[in-house]
Amino acid sequence: MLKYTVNRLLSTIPVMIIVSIIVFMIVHLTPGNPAYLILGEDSSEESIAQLEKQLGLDQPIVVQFFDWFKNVITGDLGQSIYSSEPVLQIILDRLGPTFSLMMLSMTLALAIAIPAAIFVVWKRNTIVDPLFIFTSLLGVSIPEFWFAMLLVLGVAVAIPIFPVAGYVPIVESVNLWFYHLILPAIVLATVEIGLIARMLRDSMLDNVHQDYTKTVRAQGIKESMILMKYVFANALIPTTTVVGTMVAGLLGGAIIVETMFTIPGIGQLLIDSIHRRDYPVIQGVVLIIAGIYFLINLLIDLLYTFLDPRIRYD
Amino acid sequence: MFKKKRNVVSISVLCMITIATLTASFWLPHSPSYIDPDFRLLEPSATYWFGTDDFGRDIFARTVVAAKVSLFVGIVVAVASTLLGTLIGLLSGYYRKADFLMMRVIDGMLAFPSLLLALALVAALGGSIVNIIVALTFAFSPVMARIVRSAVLQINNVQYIDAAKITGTSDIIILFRYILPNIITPIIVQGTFIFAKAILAEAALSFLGVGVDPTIPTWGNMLQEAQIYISIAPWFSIFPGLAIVFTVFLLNILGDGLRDALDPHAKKVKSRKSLLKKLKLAKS
Amino acid sequence: MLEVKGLKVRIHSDKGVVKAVNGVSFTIKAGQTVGIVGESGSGKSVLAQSLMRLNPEPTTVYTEGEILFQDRNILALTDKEVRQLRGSDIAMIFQDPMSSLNPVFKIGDQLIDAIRAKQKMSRKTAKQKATELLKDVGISDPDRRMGEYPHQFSGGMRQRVLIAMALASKPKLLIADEPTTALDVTIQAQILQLLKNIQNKYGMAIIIITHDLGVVANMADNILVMYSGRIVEEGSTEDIFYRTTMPYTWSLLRALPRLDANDQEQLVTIKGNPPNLLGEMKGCSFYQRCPFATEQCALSDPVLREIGKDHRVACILSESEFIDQVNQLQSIQ
Repeated sequence: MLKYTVNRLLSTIPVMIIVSIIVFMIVHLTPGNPAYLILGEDSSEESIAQLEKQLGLDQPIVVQFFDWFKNVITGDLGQSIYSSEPVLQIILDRLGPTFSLMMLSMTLALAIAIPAAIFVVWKRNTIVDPLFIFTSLLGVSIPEFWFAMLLVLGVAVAIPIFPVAGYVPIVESVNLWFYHLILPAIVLATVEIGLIARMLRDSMLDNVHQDYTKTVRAQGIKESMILMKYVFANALIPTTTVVGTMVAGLLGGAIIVETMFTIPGIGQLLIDSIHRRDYPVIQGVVLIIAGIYFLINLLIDLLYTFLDPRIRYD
Repeated sequence: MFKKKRNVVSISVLCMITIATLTASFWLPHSPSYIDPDFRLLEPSATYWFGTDDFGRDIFARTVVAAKVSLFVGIVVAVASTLLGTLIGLLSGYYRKADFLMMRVIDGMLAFPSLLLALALVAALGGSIVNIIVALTFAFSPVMARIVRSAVLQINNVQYIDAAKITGTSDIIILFRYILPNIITPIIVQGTFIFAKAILAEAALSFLGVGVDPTIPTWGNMLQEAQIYISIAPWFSIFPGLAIVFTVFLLNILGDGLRDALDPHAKKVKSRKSLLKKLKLAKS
Repeated sequence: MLEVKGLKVRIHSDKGVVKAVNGVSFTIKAGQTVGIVGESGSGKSVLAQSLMRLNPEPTTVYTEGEILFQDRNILALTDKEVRQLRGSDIAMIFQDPMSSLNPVFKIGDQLIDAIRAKQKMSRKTAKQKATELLKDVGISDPDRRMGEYPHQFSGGMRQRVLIAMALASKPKLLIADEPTTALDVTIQAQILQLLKNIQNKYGMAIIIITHDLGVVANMADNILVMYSGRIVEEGSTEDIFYRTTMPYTWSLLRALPRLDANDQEQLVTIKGNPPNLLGEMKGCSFYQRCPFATEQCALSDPVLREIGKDHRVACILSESEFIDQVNQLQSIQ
């Protein structure tokens, strides 16, 4: 297992290099001179030259990449063109809300998806199953932003219980934090519920007719117990990888949901920065999101080996 | 694959939507672009089935016309990322030496949630239909490449491939005549799902204001405009949204149905269901 | 103790209705060992699983007959009553020990769960009991091995664990469905010996389902030979091995490798495949593969008839006709 872990960690290095190149290329893919693009066509020669120097655009591209890469490794993501603050600091300030939103939606999604999947497998020979397939497919077909709009319309405007905008840090007030985040979290969770519950169901159905289930059934153990303990434990292993996919969905969805509910997270920061053409911040956010996603997937992979005794002891 | 009623129904309805939007100018009762300030934000009625928007334009007409862009982006992205992803996956799964480099690049691209990768690319390239197609293709091909690669790896060890290699069959023939037909199922299924995802992503990008030119009617653009009127003119938001849900849902149903129809393993589960139906009928 | 009367089992599949068991009747007395022998597809596993109602429902339908266990009809019990019966009165071990244990739980935990499913006791007591059970099935150092996972056990060891699980609440009947098929030959003998030993110690009746007459030769008191969902011969082990007058059993015996055979003698295989249980059956089901088949066999459907004490055969040939046929066939070869 140690060998596997080391290998897995080593394999992250080339991936991180690729990620850096992609992020670096964001600025350099822009047609024309990025400095013009940032400052506008009618800006003065001097300010262009100054920005070019600031961004290192006067250097050959390979040199630019290595300079940038060196800075990134030391935690220097550059400065925001818009506010002149260090990018890393701007992003760190915005991580809290995004993280809160993701944790809350993930908890919500798992709390609904897991019992739902178990229930569906339990009632697999009834109308429940096709109905579930239908609903989960419908769930993944709804655009998050549209669902958010409906929710705002239905809950917040017609019955104004929950706020439709804003954010309160958890350290200030847990209640207000929850109160502000619950609607956005529901929106984010909805799509994910369909996905995870479906994958769990498929995976559990694969296990229901395995020989070891027959063994416990022959021992007279209750069907509900068989599903909840034995089948679920086996289905959980492949499903951990699903959580990785889920994080991707949540990170992508957070960009939209934060913008809609004006939650000051990194998603909103990204969209604002795109509109402001604040390229260093765009690069920084993309890099950080990719980093978080990558890290979580790494953790899941390692967790996977821990959950499956067949790998753990080899 | 057309045996299942569900697949036939979803394909037919999708075709109908396509035909309806392509022939829209011949049969629409109102012009999608005719502005009439006197008819701003009208509720749905017999004249304006879906109501009117903030410029007094017919929402029904705009929803129908918008399908053209959304479906176009969706199908082109689906086809392009299927071709690109399949090619990379085939080469990577077959030529083990090229595999390492290609898979690291794919892993690197997969390290971005696809919407983020698309956003970043659109931010760099600027928003136009072509750029959105390029961005989404880049965002969705890595998943396809992964799926194709693992399918190739599975089949590469099968004896008839070995036999073909030993008898000196050329790589191209092995790849496209022997391997590809055997892994076409996951490709078709995934392609259908990409179609669905691309429509959602295009709508999201347009909604966020970084997508298709806001003057072109797309579902995402319409919803972007509708957002501020959500409480006074909910129909403005509801109908274009329903159009997205309906179309994407059909595609997802189709993808799911194709997987069942084409995948022998899943087939068992399906037929069990129809079997149960028969049993129930027999009992009653 | 167990009496099966005219059992018919139908399995609904996507290809049609499989007539898996077609009017099977037999009796098992307490402490007896019975072998059920047949090729794959003869319905023997479906029959075995029917005894505990383990066939997947609702695709399996028990259309006719009764399964009386201690005078209670298993087919008429509620799900809950069947569940209470499973594990405590009737236990079962399966063909493939590699996949019959849950890969993600420790052996000890699975065994303790099996014990506590039927008897109310503390985890600690259950653990002690688990240790004893593992000792009974010949696993050394049980305390350490209970903390291990199935993949750390060999096939034979896993089958021992499964036997220990089956013994958890001292069943009165143990059904062993192809218990040795997936194992190496040397291990097979060990497992069979183990089954004999535990029968001596626990005194339960055993049903061994197998395709291999050799497996039951030294184990069983009685043997039932199954073909296409029916019993075609039943009798004591001696009857089956030395006094068979049933062409199918005879063919099975001829297909067994023997040490005393001379080099010229070839192993004889049975031509063709068992009949498709999907279709309509007419005449004797072994008719098409039978070396002694006559035109009459295509028309008549032979029923079991007594030819000796507790020895029954389903074949239209009389004893003397059968012996003539065998001699004739051997003289040709």
